[in-house]
Amino acid sequence: MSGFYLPFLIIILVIAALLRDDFALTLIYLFLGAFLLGTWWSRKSLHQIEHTREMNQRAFYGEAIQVRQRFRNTGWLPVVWMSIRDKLPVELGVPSTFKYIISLGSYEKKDFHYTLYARKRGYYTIGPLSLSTSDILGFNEPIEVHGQEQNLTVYPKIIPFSSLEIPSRSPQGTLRHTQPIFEDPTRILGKREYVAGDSLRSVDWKATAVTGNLQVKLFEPSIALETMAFLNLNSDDYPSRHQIDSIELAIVIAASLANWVIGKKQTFGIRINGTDPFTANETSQTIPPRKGQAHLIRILETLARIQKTEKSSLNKLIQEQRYHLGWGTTLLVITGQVTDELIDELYQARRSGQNVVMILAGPVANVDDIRNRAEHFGISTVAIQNERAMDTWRL
Amino acid sequence: MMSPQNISEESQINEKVFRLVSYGLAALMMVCLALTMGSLVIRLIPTWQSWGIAILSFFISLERLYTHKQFRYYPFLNLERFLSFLTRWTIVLILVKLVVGLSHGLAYFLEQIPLWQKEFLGAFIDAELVIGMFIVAASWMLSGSFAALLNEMSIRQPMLEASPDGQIKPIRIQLLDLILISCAFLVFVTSLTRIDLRAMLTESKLIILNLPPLAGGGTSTLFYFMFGLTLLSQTHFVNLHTHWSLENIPVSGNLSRDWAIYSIAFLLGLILIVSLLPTNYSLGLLGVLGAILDAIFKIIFYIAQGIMLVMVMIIGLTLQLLTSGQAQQESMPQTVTPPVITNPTEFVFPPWWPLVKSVFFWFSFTVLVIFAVAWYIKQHQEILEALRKLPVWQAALKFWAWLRNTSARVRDGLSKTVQDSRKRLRAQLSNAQYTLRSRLLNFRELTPRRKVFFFYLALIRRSEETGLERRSSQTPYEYAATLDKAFPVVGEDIDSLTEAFIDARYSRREIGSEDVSLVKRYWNKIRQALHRKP
Repeated sequence: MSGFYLPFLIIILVIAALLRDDFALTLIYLFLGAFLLGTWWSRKSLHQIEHTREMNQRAFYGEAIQVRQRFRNTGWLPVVWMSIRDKLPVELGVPSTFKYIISLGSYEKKDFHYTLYARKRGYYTIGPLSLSTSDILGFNEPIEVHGQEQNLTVYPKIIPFSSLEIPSRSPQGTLRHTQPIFEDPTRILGKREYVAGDSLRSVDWKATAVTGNLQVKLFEPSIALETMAFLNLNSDDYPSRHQIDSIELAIVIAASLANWVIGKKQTFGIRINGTDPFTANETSQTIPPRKGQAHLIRILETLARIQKTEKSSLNKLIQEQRYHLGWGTTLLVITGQVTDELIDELYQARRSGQNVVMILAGPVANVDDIRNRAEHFGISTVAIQNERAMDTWRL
Repeated sequence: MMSPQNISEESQINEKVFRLVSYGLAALMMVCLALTMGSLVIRLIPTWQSWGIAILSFFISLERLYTHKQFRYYPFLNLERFLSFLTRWTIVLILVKLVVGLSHGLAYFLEQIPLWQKEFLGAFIDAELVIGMFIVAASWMLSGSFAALLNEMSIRQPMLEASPDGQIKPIRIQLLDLILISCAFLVFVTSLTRIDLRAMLTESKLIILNLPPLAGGGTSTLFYFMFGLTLLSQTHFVNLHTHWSLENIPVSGNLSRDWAIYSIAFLLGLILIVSLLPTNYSLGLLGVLGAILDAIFKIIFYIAQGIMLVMVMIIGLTLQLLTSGQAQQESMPQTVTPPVITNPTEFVFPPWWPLVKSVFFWFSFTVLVIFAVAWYIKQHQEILEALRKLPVWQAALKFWAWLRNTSARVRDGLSKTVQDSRKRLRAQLSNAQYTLRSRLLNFRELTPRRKVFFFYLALIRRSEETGLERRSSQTPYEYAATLDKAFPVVGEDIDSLTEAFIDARYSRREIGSEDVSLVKRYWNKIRQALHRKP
């Protein structure tokens, strides 16, 4: 407000006192009343605003997320003007702030829509929304209230695979076993006549209807094995020039593999030497091998939030984990750098009966040399320079 | 931030509308100014017609507002500027003469025209013309100030506000200052209309006229202020709108309309509230304040007179020495004490009614003043900082700390005293209860050990009644020896009773009813002996 307002009041009061005139009091009331009424109106009206933000809090890469903002005046006092500012992450293809100026009548509501684009995996904060207004005469500084923040998880890009040509004794999880300990109902070997003692569950009703005799399915004996991925996010293990792209590629590979393996109804686990803002452990994140879509979403959420680290080495991670993994488990090691210690660790895993596949993410120097060294120890190596290199596996 | 070139077409249209509205409001304010000043003139020249000059002020103000930008860039000493100034004021002079002359009727005006030929200066330039020109000139100058600010308040305004050195005062604040200063002037003029100016000028008497609050320029001054507030609302809107345009913030389409509606609603609400507040029940507040101010002015005047006297004496003596002339004597000006004017009351109110009103008034007024001062200090932290550096402030702080410490000590002392008193009282009460209980104790309910105590205590009490008081230093045996000497007949019984008491008091032996009956027998004998003592 003007710095003259107090002198103004004093002057009026002095004039009124010297000339014994009560009229001046009316003007003092008017002036202070304008100030007080304006202040009260702006504060009251702003605090009676109800705001809701509706949006999906999870999105797959490439999706468009519709956001609806609703502002409702819950009181009879109109809002003369209100500035709406909602902070948005620029990574989602929108300006850094959603801004609008509105006025709201008594009990009026207004909706605003905008679209966010899931262009980059991550865990984003939408908001906080800030609403500000001031009195109609501009005597006061604008007052501001803040709304709630919301979070949005954008899952990493998933490349759908049709087949995964990773050389292995065990094609990703299910290894045919010589001993008929378990029968895999998904692997039908053939059919035969029903004999007493056969389970009714194995009756092939369609074949029975065709032949007129009870037919039972013959299943391949099998045993389900686990797949465990080790994702190296130690920034020192990626070339500094391509560090960001290579790390993102490694995450995309891990997400795509998880999607493919779990899509085949196999178990998949992952251990990452990165930081997750949701967990207390700053060096590594571990998700044990499980099946199912819920488990896949859990993995994807972790991969969405995960950030690179400089504190944890991959060797230690594999060393700690591989003793807990069973015989025949497939180890998928996704990294940007291969050291002798890593090859030694993977060789020990192979000697323990685990199948090891090493995936090199991004431009890695001396790939052939690494491949030769790894093959010497019986470790399969796949080099994926960029996303296009995975096209051969696409659906 | 966007450059001014990027201002949208919509914003430019809004700015034109704003200019139109704000110029209109400023011109209306000048009308109010002319009317208020006219109310004062009427006190001196009762035939004065205010409305003619007021309407003229409106048009002259509009002209000034629209042409201000054009003349602003002319150099001060420029022929073109001088000529246009001269022609403009010639036209204004003629118009004022026309309006003033026609205000008395066409016939009178036509009669006056031939006189101009005879004595132009005397007939043409009369008092009314001079006053009219003065009012129009005041409107012209004030509207020029408004025009300067309103023309600045556009695209440049946010940049001016954002000046990093903070040297430039924001235009809106300058506008508010201008409105307040001019309003204060109008309040002064309005107050003058409530004084009998003729009596003051001719008889040097301050006679306050009993006018209704809105008479004598009150209405026009209030309207001036209301138009000023409306102008402030408009300028606030355009200021915000320019900010939003520069920041590329989309604005809801109906905001301009809503703003106008809410502004009107706000001002109407304000008028309603203010009309309900008391203004003329100050129980002599203004009189008291006026008397204080009068006293202050008188003190200042006497001090100034004293200084002047000393100076005159020094100068006079010096001159006397140099010129041997006579010392000049200054005559003291006489001060006139204003008479106390009592306003006759038209209605008879209940005796409590003025008290209620005055309480309400004082409450409202005090709250407003405190709020105003607090807000002012809050907005001017530098004043607070400067105050904190003053030694008086430090002393006040120390005094406050001392006051707090002293009051804390007094409070602690008081609370301690109260607590002690409560403890004592509680102890006394418990003793009293105990005594009461002991007085009312039921012998049958006592344990055998307590019964033995009872008989021994009875022995002591009864013995004390006969004058053989037991000293606190005496053991039961020593006391028994004393009693033996006084009552040798029952000496054996006294010793036995004392023995029984010591046994009951200090041993863990179980005391049975047979022991009690034995002790009772001793006591009965002793009691008879005590009764027998003269």
